[in-house]
Amino acid sequence: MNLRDYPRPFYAINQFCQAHCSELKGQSFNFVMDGGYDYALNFTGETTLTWSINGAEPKEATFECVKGDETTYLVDFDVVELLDTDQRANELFVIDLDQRLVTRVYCHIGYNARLPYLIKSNYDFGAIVVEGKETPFKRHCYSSELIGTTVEWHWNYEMWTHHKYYDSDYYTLTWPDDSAAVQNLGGPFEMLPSHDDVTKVIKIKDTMYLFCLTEELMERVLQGPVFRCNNMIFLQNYDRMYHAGRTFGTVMMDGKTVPCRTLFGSFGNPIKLPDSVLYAENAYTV
Amino acid sequence: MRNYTYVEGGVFIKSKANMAEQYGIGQYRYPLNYELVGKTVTAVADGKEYTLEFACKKNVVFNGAKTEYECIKCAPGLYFVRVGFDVAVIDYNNSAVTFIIEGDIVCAAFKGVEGAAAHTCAGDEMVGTKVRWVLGCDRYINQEFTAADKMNVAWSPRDEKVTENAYRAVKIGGPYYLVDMKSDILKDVCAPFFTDHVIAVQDYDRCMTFGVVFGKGFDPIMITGYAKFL
Repeated sequence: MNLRDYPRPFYAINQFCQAHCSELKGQSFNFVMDGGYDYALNFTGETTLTWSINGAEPKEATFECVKGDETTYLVDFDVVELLDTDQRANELFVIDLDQRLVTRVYCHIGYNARLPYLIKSNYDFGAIVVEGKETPFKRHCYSSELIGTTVEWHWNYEMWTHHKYYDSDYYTLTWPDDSAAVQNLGGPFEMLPSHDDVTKVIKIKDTMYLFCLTEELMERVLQGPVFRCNNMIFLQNYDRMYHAGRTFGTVMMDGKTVPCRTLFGSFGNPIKLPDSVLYAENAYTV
Repeated sequence: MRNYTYVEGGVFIKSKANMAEQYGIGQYRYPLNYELVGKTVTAVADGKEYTLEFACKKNVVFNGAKTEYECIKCAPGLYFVRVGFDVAVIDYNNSAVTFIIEGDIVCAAFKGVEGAAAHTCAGDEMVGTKVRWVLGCDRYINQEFTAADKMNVAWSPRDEKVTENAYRAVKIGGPYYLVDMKSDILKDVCAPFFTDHVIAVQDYDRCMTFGVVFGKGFDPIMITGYAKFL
């Protein structure tokens, strides 16, 4: 049998994602955060944890976990009491055991009456408290170091896209004609004035960045033919050229809006983009 | 460390994208997985018992002998483990372990687990498959399964240099196969000159591979790659 024809489901960006990592089971962490809201995470099972803020009563959640390298974990979970509401929220932590640092991203939906699916992201930096050890004063940090980087990301065996990182707050998405992105992404994205969208880049270490992207133009400009709004967070490893991440948002499916939640991953290589892409104007900025 | 330098008129910012040449065919290797730490796996094949005791992140006691190991998680409940110069594919979903010990394939079932069933030979199930496994930037192996024990192989960048290699395949279950390919000496390709064996779990659902490359004169290279069908 030509195993190309193996009866697999349709994969878009989630074919090359890592299997969920349950290594943190049994471990507890205390994070001292610069924003003043300290967190305690207690990994109670392979997919379950409890979390609390500033010593409040712990709450339970089901978590996902993928790794950026041997000692860096991306952990995220939805806030249970907000599931099945119009105000869903997602907590995401990058737990960096090597440097004993942590980055928190809190994303929530439903704060905006006119654009109800828009996602707001809040970022905070902190350190992991370890008894008997001095708490680090360094932090993960916002970064402009990705500027000038262009990458071809391979998401599944027939879809690859090009990312151009030219600004701390925006990136450009394109794809070549021989990629299944033409079919999977083409139509709705082509309806936009340009493929730039809103980003935030956080440096985890010299070869690792947390690339946070919110596909909000679908909501703001097009009123959501596909994504009503989607937040993607990539833990990008430029030492080995791959990333892992998760989505949080709302997608249109069969005419209905449903939560868009998946883990993803892809493999990258440097790409030389044509000048027409490299020097294209961002249609959304002055 | 900043990745920009001041030049006349402004700054030059170096791209972070790179070929990661220092890793060769091991470039895309996924982060090592430590979920097995503290676990013991005991399996039986032909009345003989095999035990793996994962003492820590680096060492495993295999049949009483301590050796170093590396583990990649292929899928939920499925682990590819290099145990020194041997291999163990631990499959919690079917309560089975397939070992490759000193070149011999041993399909074993978990001891004392009801319903445990050892993996079996894949026979000619893979014949007709023609796939490229991309292991890094411009680093790949093309495999065309032509018979139950033969495949045509080429390594980048010499796509035209096709050789017929022997292989053995074990059906892990579902989309997963363990493929042990014997290699000839290689020249001017992305894999090391003295590559001897390429042993990998191939997942035809996620279209990814996880394994190890063994050979003389170099340390074992753990690999991860993605498929492009040819």
